[in-house]
Amino acid sequence: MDIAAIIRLCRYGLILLPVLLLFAAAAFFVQIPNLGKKRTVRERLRNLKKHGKMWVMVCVLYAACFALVSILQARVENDITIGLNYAGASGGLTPNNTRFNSYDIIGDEVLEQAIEDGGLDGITAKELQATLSVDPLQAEDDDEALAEEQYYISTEYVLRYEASLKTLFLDGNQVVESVAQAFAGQFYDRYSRKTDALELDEAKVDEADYLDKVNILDRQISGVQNFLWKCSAEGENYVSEDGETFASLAKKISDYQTVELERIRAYILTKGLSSDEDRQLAKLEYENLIKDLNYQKNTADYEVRLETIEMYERDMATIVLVPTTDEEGEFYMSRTKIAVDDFADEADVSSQTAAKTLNEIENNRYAISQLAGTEASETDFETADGMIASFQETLSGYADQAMKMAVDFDAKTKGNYIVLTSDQDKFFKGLVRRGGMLTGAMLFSTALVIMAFPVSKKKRTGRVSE
Amino acid sequence: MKKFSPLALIKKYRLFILAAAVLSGLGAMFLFTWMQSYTATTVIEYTNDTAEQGLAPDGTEIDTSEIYSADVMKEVFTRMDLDYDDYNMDEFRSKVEIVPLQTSEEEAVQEAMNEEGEEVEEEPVRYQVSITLSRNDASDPGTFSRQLLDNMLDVFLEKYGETHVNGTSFVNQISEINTADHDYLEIIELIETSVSTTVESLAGYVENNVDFTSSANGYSFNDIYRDLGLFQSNEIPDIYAYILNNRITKDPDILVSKYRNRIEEYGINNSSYEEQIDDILEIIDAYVKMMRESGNTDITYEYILDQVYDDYYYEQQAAAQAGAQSESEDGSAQDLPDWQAPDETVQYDVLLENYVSNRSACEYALIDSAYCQYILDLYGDAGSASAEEEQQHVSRMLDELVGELNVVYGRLDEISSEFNEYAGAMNVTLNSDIIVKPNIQILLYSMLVVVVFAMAAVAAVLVAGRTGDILDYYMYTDRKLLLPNRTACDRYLNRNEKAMLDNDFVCIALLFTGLSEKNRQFGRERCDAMLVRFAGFLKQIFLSSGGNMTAVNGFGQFVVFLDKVTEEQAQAYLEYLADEAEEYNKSEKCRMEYRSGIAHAKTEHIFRLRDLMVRAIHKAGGSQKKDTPPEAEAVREPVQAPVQESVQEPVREPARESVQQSAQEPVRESGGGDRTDERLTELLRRLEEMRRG
Repeated sequence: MDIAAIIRLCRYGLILLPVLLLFAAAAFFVQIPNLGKKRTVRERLRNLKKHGKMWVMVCVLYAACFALVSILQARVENDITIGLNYAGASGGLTPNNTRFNSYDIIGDEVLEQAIEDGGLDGITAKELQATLSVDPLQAEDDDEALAEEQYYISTEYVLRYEASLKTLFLDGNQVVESVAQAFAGQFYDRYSRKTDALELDEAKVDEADYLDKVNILDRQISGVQNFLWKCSAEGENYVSEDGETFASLAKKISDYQTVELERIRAYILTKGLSSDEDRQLAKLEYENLIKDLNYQKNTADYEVRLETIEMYERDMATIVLVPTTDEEGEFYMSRTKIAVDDFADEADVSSQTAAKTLNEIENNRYAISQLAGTEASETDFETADGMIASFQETLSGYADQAMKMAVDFDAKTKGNYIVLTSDQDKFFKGLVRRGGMLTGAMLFSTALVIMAFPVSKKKRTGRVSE
Repeated sequence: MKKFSPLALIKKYRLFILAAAVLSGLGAMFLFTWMQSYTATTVIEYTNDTAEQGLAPDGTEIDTSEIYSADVMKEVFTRMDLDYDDYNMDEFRSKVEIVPLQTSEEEAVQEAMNEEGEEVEEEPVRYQVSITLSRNDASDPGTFSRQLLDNMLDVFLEKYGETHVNGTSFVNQISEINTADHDYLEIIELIETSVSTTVESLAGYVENNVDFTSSANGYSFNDIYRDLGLFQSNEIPDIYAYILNNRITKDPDILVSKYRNRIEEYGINNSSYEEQIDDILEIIDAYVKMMRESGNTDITYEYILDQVYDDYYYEQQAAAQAGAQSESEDGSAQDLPDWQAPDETVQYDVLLENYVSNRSACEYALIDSAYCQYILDLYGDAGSASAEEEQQHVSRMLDELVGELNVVYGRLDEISSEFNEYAGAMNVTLNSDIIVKPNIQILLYSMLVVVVFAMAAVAAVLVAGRTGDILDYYMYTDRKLLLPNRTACDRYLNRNEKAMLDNDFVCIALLFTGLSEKNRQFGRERCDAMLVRFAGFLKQIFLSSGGNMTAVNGFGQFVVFLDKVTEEQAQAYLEYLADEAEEYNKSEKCRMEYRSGIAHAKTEHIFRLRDLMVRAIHKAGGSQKKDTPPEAEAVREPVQAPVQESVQEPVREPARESVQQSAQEPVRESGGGDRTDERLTELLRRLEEMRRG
């Protein structure tokens, strides 16, 4: 039997004590002989008055014991309710629609943080884990949770702590509070909106060559757009203070991206701008080398299939029409597919890929010719830098605006994911109320016992010896 | 023999019965607690479109044993940090039970269809998953079973998403490629290949608009696709170009020989491909010729089938499985391979596909050979390893690139893992909490044990008590006089031999005289009747109870032990007894003639029972006979055996109560009942006066 169970038993014993005394008083009234004399109520009250000091002392001792045991119990045994407050919780899911695993509440990471934050020194996460358990709040006594047609998933879990010998020095309330807070913190960190896409790495743009700058800026502005589209999927109807929706801002950014990036790229190519021309040329030539290899492979694919289609014998390509049903159950005549169909499809794909690759090669060739054949002036560089800086500034403004909107949207639509409910605040109030009631009951039952008991044991013994 | 009184026996042994019941209850509680096992249960449901056909999203059959597969359990052990020395994985797996569930409506539909002779084609989609653990499995099986099942389901959903929904895993094969002993060109080639492969895989997610975003890092597949695309367009070509432009190598000879070898291999492969292509062309020609000659190429629209039965192949499969099952039932079980639907592609098409495959490979080999030749041309006159400075520079570039790629791959791994969990949870939903129930209702069963043991104890008390009565009757009772016999008297003496007697302890000895003569004179029967009557008087006056004892100590010899009785009170008893005897003698010829002796402990200064009895017998032997005393009877020798025990039970009942009880039972054998009652009342009054002093 563990310590918590022993203290729990003590508490139950103290709660039952007044009742037991009532029974004892009743038994004394019935069993103890009155030594031939019927005792009046006045005599009994006199007896009570005579033992008044003892009576009060017993009750005060009882109240003190109850308070002590209650405080000890709260120290070795405590709990806190963890409520999940988001859409999907009632389906047993996390805010990201993955499964919610209640074991995570007492996972190693949570406990390690709880030990650190709560100052629970001298104990390891494993030792702490052995003292904790998590149960759904209502499910235990509710057979309906598994009842057919009425399955039930709890959104509230009780985190229970029962001290072991190793954790006896810890305050139970502090333990459950620390663990619950650590879990809530990690849960919020995990599932709150991530805004990394809005943190733009300007240094990376600065370090890159001019053509690469355009690629990086393209990636950054696409990231901001993606962020806004994700927000839009959650809050389609949200309108910010300046009248923007997520979708409208994303569209605005998209337009800006299309126009402005094209301008910058065109200017760089026209002026042949590069911070390291040789390296840039080598890179473009290498790209073309690889692209050319891919182009050749795609062309080969295309030609091989074309050749095979031409090889296909006419009389081997008989098409059979087959009556079959579509997805809606309607009959139609389906044509059997033969290898020529597949080859034609594949040849088409290879042709398209080859054309796309050729286009990229041509673009690179144009860039190579521009870089190699144009002598850019200092002013050209300054102009390009200015354009890029302006783009970055605008993009940064959009990112800030997106961040502001997302924060505002989350504040309006999402509360805290986790709601913690602890009875600790009510503990002393409850202790006074319960302690008062029990002490009153104890006063009453002890009084009855004293009144039921014979007046003096000494006197009775004397009579017998006669 | 005593009258059988069950209630009296139960009352007498009530403490024993109570103790037996309570102890058995406590024992049962401990036993049941030790034996207790807990079952954690939840309900899952497969929700994909094809689940009712028993198929997972990837078209494979739903296999519920995946929930407790070794893969899943292994991962659970890792998550929960369970030691294989302390916990047995196979035992946990064996304790998982999965039961298909059907609603009452579904059952009704199934029954109706069965009655109509139709086959139910829908497979169950809901399952009850439970695991039962006892103290042998964990110190706290209730909590542990919940945690185990919770983690099992978590891992299962992730693996289900990975295996049956997502189907793609992203592995970072270049995490430490920069530290490998490859040449720089080989390293960047491997990086480029790995990134290209990943981008191709991610393109599928982007095209299918999978907008899942990881909660761990906030990135989606699309974000990673773009990030890797940026690497493909910026960093990788940059490093590639730097290496090629500066012809950087660790060892040009090894590099050149490697690419030269590659060209050779491509050449060899191409020869092989060309041979295969020729063979395929020959087969195609022969095949076409044969088909033409056999008339199989003259297929026209008349050959269109009237009806196509789409489920033909499924029926074939079911028939094959049924056949296998019936064989196994016959005891001739054999492992049949899974039935495979036949390839419906005509052989001609297969031959052409092979032709395309070989021709493409041949072309690719030529192109790759050209690339290798380019590298050879580039490095052919490199001479020696590149300068240390250049090598360090390219190493730094590669380190930086691999570092950045590792970050991106790390994010991709997080997204992929979370997406698997998401895909699993979207296709297998949990319908209920995990409910943990004890399998033994300890309190209920313990109460039952208490009741059963209490009843058993009552039965035992009744049997033992009655057996005791029977033994007592046959061993310790004079069956004629119905008083404790000499053996009982000896036992009483032995038991109380060491006890120090109270001041007011009295032993009365009553010795009949002339019994032998009376036997001869009046006959044995009348003499016995006289003794029986006398015994009745004794029982009436000195009921054996508590510390009191009235026994037959020999032929015509009676001893009475009385506690808390003064000498005067004893004298009063004897007077009463004498009156009764006198009354008897008036009407009977066989007279009651006896001598009596009273030994009072305080008066005689004898505080040992045996000595007191001897003293009483001596006094009786020396006293005047009450009627016409014949010669004195010999005094029985005292019991020789040393008495070790002290008096077991304190004397509780005063003699007054015995007499009172006797007074309440009128002596039926006596002729003058009213007078006896009067005398008894008078005796009681006198005794009470004596008591009050």
